[in-house]
Amino acid sequence: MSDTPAVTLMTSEQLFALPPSKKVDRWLFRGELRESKVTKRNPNHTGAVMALGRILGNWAVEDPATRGRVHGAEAYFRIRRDPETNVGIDVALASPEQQAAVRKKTNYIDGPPVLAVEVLSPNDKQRDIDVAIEEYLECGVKLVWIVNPYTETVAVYRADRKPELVNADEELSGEPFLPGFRCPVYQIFLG
Amino acid sequence: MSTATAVITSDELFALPDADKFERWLINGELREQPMSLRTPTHGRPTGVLSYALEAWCRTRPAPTPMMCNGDIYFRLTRDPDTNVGVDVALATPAQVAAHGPGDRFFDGPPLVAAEVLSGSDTMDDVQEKINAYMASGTSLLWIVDPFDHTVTVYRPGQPPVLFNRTQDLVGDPELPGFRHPIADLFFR
Repeated sequence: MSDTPAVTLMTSEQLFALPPSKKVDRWLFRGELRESKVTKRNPNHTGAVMALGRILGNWAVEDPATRGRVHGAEAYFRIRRDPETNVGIDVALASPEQQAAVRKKTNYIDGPPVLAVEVLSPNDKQRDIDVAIEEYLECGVKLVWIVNPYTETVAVYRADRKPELVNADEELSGEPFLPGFRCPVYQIFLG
Repeated sequence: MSTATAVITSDELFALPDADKFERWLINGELREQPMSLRTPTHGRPTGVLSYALEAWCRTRPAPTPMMCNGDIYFRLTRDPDTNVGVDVALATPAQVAAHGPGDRFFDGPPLVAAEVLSGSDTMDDVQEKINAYMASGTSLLWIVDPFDHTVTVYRPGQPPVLFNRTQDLVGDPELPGFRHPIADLFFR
């Protein structure tokens, strides 16, 4: 017989009912509340997020009906239900179907994005990054890009392939999930 | 992680108390400190297998051969101010071995090859700072081993990093002629 009390799992509704904080980021990981100090406002991070948002956004708006919509600044995606994982993602591509379900009062987008991009910050711990990649892929995110502003590289993760690294001399593509998308990696880190 | 702004020497680094509770190193004379991380097979297996593979390779080489050592062996990569780091697995040059006196706490200069196996508690900042220090000091070959992804990222001075995954071999040419080991073999799980 177990001594541990039953854990009450938190829902997305409860997460968004918490008083907002400027000091901590909050998210749900398999029904558990997670918090960490806000550390993402450094220029290396913000510049890379905006550059990729722009480059991806330019690609998406060419054909939003099939390509979907790009979200930035840690839009929440509920990537898992029962228990819930609801996380803010640095840059993400919502499918046209996900986008169609968004209403004016929507707090989060339901389901895994097609693409999840995380830009590394100085205080990110290795295990947190590993857990995030694993959860994204398990929950059905097709493509995960881990952007490293220090090395000016992008590590690419997919459920069906081994990890790959694309460096500043090379070009990032998203086939077959982002048809026609091409991005010379150095452009993410320009300026 | 605590960082002191004061610059200290390698001797002062090794004189700090509670050495069994903290992992410490110096970057340009500044102390870096982390609570001692748990020893796990996830970290220990790749350290062990790489040590074995590098030692075996050393034994195929004509004299004077480099020397493999592992387990946070310190190399003073640069001096004044000192950058002095404990390396998971390294090859010391014959000259470094010859110059290492009794009671010395570190090898002087960069290793021929350094391998760092990532831990879950490592921060991006610390990892990157060390990579930069290895490269700036002229370490010919640096392997960053990720036991979670089952990958090895290879750094050489002046070149972009290259990542190899578990379907590939870790190849040491030209710095380690003939060194080759399947990456999949390195890992515990």
